[in-house]
Amino acid sequence: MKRALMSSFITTFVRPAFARGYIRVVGASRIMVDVISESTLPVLNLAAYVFTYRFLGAPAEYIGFVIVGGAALSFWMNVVWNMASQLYWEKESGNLEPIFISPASRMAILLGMAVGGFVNTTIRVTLTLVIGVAVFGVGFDPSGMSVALPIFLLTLVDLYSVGMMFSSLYLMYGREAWHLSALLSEPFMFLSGLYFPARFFPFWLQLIASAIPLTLGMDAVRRIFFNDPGLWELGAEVVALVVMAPVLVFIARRLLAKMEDLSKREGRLTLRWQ
Amino acid sequence: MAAESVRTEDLVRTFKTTRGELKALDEVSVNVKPGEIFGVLGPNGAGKTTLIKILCTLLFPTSGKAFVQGYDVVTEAQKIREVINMASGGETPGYGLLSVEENLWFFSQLYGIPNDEAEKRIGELVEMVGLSDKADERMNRLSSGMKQKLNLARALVNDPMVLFLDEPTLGLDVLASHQVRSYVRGWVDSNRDKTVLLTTHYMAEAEELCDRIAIVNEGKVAACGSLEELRAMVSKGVHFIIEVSYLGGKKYEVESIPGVKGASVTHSQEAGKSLVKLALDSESAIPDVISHLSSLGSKIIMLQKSEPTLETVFIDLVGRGIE
Amino acid sequence: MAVARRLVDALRASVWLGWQISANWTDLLVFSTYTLIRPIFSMLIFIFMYLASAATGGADPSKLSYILVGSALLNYFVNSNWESFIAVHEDREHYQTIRYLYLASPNLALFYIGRNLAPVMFNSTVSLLVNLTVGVSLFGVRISPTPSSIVALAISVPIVAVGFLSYSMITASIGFVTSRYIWGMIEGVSGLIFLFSGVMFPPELLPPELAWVAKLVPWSYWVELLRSPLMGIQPTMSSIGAGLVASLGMVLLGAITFRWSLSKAKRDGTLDTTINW
Repeated sequence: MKRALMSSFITTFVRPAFARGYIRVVGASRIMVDVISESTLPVLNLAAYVFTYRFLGAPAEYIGFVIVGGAALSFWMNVVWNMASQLYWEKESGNLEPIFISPASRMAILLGMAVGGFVNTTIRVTLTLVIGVAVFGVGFDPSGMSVALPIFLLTLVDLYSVGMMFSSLYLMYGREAWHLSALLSEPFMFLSGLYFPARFFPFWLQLIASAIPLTLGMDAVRRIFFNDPGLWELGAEVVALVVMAPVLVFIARRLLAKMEDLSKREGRLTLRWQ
Repeated sequence: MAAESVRTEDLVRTFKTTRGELKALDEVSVNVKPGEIFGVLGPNGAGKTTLIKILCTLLFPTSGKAFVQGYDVVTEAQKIREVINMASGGETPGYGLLSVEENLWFFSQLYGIPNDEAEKRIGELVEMVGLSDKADERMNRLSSGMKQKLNLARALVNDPMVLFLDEPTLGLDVLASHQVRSYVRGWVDSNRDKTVLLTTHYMAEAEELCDRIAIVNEGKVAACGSLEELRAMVSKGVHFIIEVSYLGGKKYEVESIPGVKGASVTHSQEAGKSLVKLALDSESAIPDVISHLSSLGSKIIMLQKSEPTLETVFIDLVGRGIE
Repeated sequence: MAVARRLVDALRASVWLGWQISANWTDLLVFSTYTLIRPIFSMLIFIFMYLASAATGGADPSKLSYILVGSALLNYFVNSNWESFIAVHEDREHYQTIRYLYLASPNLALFYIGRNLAPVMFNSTVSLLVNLTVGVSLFGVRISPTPSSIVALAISVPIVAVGFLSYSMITASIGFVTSRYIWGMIEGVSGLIFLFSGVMFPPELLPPELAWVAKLVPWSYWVELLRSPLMGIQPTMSSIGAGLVASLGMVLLGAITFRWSLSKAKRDGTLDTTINW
């Protein structure tokens, strides 16, 4: 029984996830100008925020917030544009049909896309952090790395689950979902407090922002590296992130199944140019 | 093994459009036996692709039931997906930046095929479809014919029990079309437990490949059976082919003549001729037809009685040609 | 005359197309919400950056005005960046119409300028109005144009418009020779604009090694030509002249890069290929 389950898991989950991730990594590496530009140019955006803080006379640790926020933003963009909206592109290019008539788990396909994009994103983030520290003289307490890294990884798990929820919309909708992703980019960036501590929000907004895993993750990381007072107690934030993980994965799974069913009922699963 | 490979019972599928509801499938009931190549023949918009999408679990029926290998398309979709595959003509899914082999490997992994087995199978498939020398080529560098062959290879990568082919030779030249048909025939002949359900609007393709054919029009099955059975359905009538001089853009409107059950007209402007294929209740309708054509100014070049072909069957049952 | 008429017709059709693609995906209410929400939250990010800084003793409302007005104007360039780049990719890989557009359009560059015009102008103008309205009414942003600065603005707008439309040809050119996954490059070009255009901070704050770049990029002149009149500051003749030179230079550069990238795409056989992965 166990062996059959394991075999089924490998067949329907592991292999498809690996294959989809492979495509993402290999495909990306075959256009070098893309690799180089995607890894290096976004640092310019980041630098602009750094100089903005300097213009505003902000304390030095705020520069660190920008660097860390920029790194987190890269992962968020990977989730939204390289994973969630990928189903839109698969649909438009005719690849969705052969994928969806296979027994591969939908979550495996999305996970593969996410992990594949994660590789490229990590290169970009590493570069960002190196430049942040070397060029802008960002100082942070490295002793917190052993705590910050697992918290950040936990945040990414939650984030990717949110991304999977988004991706389910693309099964049913086309451009509406694409525009919804675009629409939610700025509110997410704002509420997550990527570039400033969320503790400056009024209380009611802090509560709303805390429903977003990235807000809690960023807050925890800022607290560890830069001794920022933070929104809530670190322990509470970690517990919240841990609780969110299975809940968000469950919701994502249900939503994927539901939207797939709905799109099949409405005849929109393979409908292009919506 | 399931008694039927594919079975539908009063299958209905409607779509909402800006002009109201469209019934793409109207109580379609078909049975496909294991080991046969079953054709679904009909003009554009007949509901062929809708039928395939339902059977491939990409679309739910509005009402009615459908089963593939005994599994319900709505409630047991996952089981169906393990044993089917599909290729659509005119579509070339795949990843442009990956090679032929890489694309096939990717799709093999969606079916969880172990790497060594996948490698072996890909080698055989690439050989079978004549892409051995292009195996390392990126997909976006292939010609349309090659992409379609790759598409077919992809559809066979999991060695499906049921293969759905939706107009597989659409847009291909004569040679490529012939090759695709050969691959399909060869695959079924060497795997007697495999089934192919193929949709087409090419008469010749249906005649050449299919063991049985369902003729569909406007979402309904007009007739279903082997070629002989279909011919026998229309043997009571008579069929004529009349070659006339080309009359430019004029409409012939022979269908309105009493005694004419159906007609199909094809024009060859360069040759200055038109070919009128007729399904008649009896030969007594012929003088009226000739008289009508003459009144339009057309000269009769040739008149010939013909045995029912699939095309004449279609005309007889549907009332018009497939174009 | 017939040629001019054809160009006008093609331009009109491309503007119509651009508007349809950007607007007909939903109903009016959702579209309006979408159009308003993005600039509001984008603005709020800057406002809270300011508030966070002000909490540590750096409060200076004039700086907030500087940032908000600048970022509102910058949306024209950033939106144009994205729209012109993605339009090429959409036509090539999504709608697969690029070969037919290439054959049918009397001028492909003009087509893409028109295609982007409606969404860019609409979204950016809404963003500008929202930023200024919210900024002025809720956050004390000061907009104080004088009659002479309004005249200067009227002169500056066409100068900047020519430049920014030509710039959109450059991003379209990038689209011809790249895949759609390089949103990082587009983000990077936006970053260039953010960093060197003086939109969020005066370029004098840049280290000497980088400050010279700000003198070379046209956006720094364009942003000042538009921001100064809004804040009641009369732009000098030399700054107007610099903006004009920048725009003309961009026209030339835009035409050259567009022509080169189209040629390259045809040589490489990638004009109408799909690169999806």
